[in-house]
Amino acid sequence: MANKHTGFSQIARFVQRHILRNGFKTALVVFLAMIFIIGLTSINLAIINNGNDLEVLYKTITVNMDLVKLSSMSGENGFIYGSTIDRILETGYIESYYTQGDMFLRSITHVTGDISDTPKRGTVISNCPVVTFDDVNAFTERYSGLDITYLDGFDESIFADDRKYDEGSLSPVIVPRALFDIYASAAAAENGESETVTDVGYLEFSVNSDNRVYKRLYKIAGVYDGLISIYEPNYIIIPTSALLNWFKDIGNESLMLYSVADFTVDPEKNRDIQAFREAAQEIASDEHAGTGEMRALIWDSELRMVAEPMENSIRLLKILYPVVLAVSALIAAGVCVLFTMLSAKDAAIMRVQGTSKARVRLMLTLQMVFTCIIGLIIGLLGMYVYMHFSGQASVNDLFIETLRVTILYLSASLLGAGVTSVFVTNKHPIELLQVKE
Amino acid sequence: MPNITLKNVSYRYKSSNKNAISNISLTFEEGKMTAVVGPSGSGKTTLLSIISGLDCPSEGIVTLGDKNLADMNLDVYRREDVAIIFQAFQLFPLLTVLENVCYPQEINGVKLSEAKVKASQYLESVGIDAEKHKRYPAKLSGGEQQRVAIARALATGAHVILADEPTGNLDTENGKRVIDILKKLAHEKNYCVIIVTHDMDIAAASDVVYKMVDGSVMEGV
Repeated sequence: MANKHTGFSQIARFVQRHILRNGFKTALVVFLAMIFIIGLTSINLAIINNGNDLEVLYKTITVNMDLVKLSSMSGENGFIYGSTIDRILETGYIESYYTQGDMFLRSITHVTGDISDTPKRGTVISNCPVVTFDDVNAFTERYSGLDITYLDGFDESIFADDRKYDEGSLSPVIVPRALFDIYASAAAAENGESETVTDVGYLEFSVNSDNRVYKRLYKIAGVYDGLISIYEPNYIIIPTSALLNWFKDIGNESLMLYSVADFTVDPEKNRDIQAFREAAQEIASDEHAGTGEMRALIWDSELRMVAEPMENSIRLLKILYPVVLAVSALIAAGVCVLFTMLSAKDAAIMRVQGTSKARVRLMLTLQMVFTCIIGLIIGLLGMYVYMHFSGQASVNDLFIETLRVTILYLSASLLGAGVTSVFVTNKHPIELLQVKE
Repeated sequence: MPNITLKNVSYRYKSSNKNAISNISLTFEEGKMTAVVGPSGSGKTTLLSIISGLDCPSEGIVTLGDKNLADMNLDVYRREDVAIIFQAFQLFPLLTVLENVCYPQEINGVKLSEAKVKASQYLESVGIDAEKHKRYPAKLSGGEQQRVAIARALATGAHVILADEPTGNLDTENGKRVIDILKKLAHEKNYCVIIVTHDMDIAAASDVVYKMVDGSVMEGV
């Protein structure tokens, strides 16, 4: 009876000799296994790397959205209601925003003296334009020719605070140079001071709402030089909150109109930009979005130009990957079938020598499987070295998928060789070995 | 050394409705070289398959001594009791001459080191010098390859040698040399040598000749 130990040794020797001595067959099988593992790992690596790059891209690209008039040619004023801005903010896509209020007040009246006792009313300007904002840096960036000078006790922080009406501390306003000079002269005359004054008095704003006139005092906190609009030289600058809170107190927030509503999308949400686009368009196209027809302009060209091709590339790779995987498994099986078939004569010789069918099948199958393993190991080592020195995605990222691919390839080889070895050993040995006359 | 005996053996292939061999009763004796001759299709190959245990008879029994082949493990039978030599030599092309002769010993559980020693002896006994032991079969002449095949057959330890047209691919001189070796094995070592051939010169050199015609055997000389 054959010794089990010598049996394993004999099988190992036979397999080893046939792998090492069959140059072409071994080289081809090793090469194919190597190529496929490298190819599949490379595709997987590309998917991961592109995915990582895309993730960084999405998080670093800034996408802005502006609410604008549908057509600048329409001749209509396109002012935006505060409720529209609120709806945009409620979508959850916005990281930051800049809004600029822009409306006409019924009138503004210069007030000097003791406002708690006998204020003195001076110059009145009807239908006075007012511009509001809460980000002075963004505002001055838009109007780069503007220069704001604050009176004592005031600075740019006046725009950041949430300004609510308080008799002890009135909300501040900034007036244009032309009006400031008039107000300063009036204040100087009132106080008996020289023309250089530090307290220029107040402005009383007046608005109409529901057939009633509402008035509120604001403190003149500074002066600006430059133009906000060539059409309206007398724009009064006021923090948005100062006006908005007054309109809330009146009970008519819709008095607050905006000419600028610029939004910056949260980079974390860049991937869902299409959903945001649809939501924003729906909000903007609402007939109550503003005083005219509105639309949402999304500045995502950079995102589209850079991210879209990468998305497409990844999509393509993800389609390609399983196809290549299936093809490689088929080729692995096919090559093993072919080379096992070519070993039919060897199998017949073994059978007539008294080698059992099971042993013959084992030897034929092991030859193919071990040859594939050699190719897979070489390919995997090559990829590992490449990834290690190129600093690309870590081995851990690819480990599971590479293991899966390897197992699939080996399974296909095993199946191809195994099934064919059964077929080959079931052939009549004499028919294969006898010379046909 | 047992004889091989066939009693009323018939064989029909699954795809055929006609017997390839019919009701054959023969004995192949040890110590003799027996030739089985006949034209193509006479059933020689079928007979060879049955004697070697690669096919089982549809009817009748085949015995080795007093053991019925039907009760034996036929892989073991081919490993230990019977060896086959082919016209085209059928050596493993990727194994050296020595490794080819070691193979049947290895599958019989003989350690490699011991197998190598015995293989060398078998090869020397058939006239293959040591310097050729590490060559691959393709580097040998036809006659040398056939002698290696004989050495491999001897290495099995079997005492029944089946030879299917052993000289078919050899020139006259080498063919004669091979037949002489087989004859020597039969007469001097008491092997049971069975040669399947249509070469009448081989038949003439044999101790017993069976002629097969249409699946039946005519008694020979």
